[in-house]
Amino acid sequence: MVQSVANLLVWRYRGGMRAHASFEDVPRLEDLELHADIAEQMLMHLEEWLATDPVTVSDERTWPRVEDLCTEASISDQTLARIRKVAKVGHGKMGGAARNHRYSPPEVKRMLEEARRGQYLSKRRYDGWEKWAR
Amino acid sequence: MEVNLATAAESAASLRFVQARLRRLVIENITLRGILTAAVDDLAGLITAHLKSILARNLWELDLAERVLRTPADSTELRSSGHTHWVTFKGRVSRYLIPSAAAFMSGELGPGRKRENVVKTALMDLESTRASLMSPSASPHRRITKNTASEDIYWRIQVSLPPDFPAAPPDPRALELAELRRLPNEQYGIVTLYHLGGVLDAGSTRPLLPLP
Repeated sequence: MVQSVANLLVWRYRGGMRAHASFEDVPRLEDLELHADIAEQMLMHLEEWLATDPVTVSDERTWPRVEDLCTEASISDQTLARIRKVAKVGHGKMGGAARNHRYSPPEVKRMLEEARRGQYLSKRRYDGWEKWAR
Repeated sequence: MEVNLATAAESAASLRFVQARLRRLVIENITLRGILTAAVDDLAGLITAHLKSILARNLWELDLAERVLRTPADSTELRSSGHTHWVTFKGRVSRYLIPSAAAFMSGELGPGRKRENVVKTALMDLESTRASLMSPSASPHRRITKNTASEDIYWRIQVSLPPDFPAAPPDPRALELAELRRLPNEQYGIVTLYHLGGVLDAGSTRPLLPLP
């Protein structure tokens, strides 16, 4: 049920882009149901949150890299690449730039959930990731 | 008409301004992309939980209505205490029963065979409504009354709400700020991130967020 709702939500704003490549079919700002006043309020809320949230203001140098995550769960680059791909955190390839990428806690959380949902590995092997997902 | 066009143009200009500020934020803060992307699934979870709580509330309402329907006509026990509330559900009754059903709903139908028939029909409709709530994919149950024409009706049963009956929860799908502000702060944040994610790439052939 969650998945079907998610698909509906994704379609609502961005589905047109996936189904059609032409410019005419891209959803326009004017097509959004969201009122401009509300969007402004939401943006203000986001800006306030960004200024205070520990995730976004934390030191990015402490976030885990590919090596950290692979070592922690004893998995290969390829397994992590597969998880990244289905969790939609970047593409599945592991080039130099991807290997050096640091993952934010929400990204790790997303990968963790996807890994469990996809049953790529046992829960026990991913327990180590939870410290990064907080 | 001109006023409407001007308002629409103003609204689009404001949204474009929000979008520009948002795109700058996302470009400056790479973390934000992951957060905005994750908001879609987070909101899906919120909506699922919301629908479950609405379902539980509706089923509880039907239980209360059933209790009232099964209460003898001369009892005032259930109608006299607590905060009153109308429970409505759809039904189908024989045409000859409609006046009695209307009298029953306004509390003017005394004990007797007519009342028994009305209550029996209402309970069947209530059970059918409950079944369709429990499994929405099942085709709605419709009773056919032999040899008599029947009509759709909305049953309205007055019940007393118990003190622990939950207030209507705020809907995370709402687009009115007053309704969204009723959400807990964390949930409001998720809704905010979801909508801003939609604003971010609207009208752009080069989206900043990964495509689903």
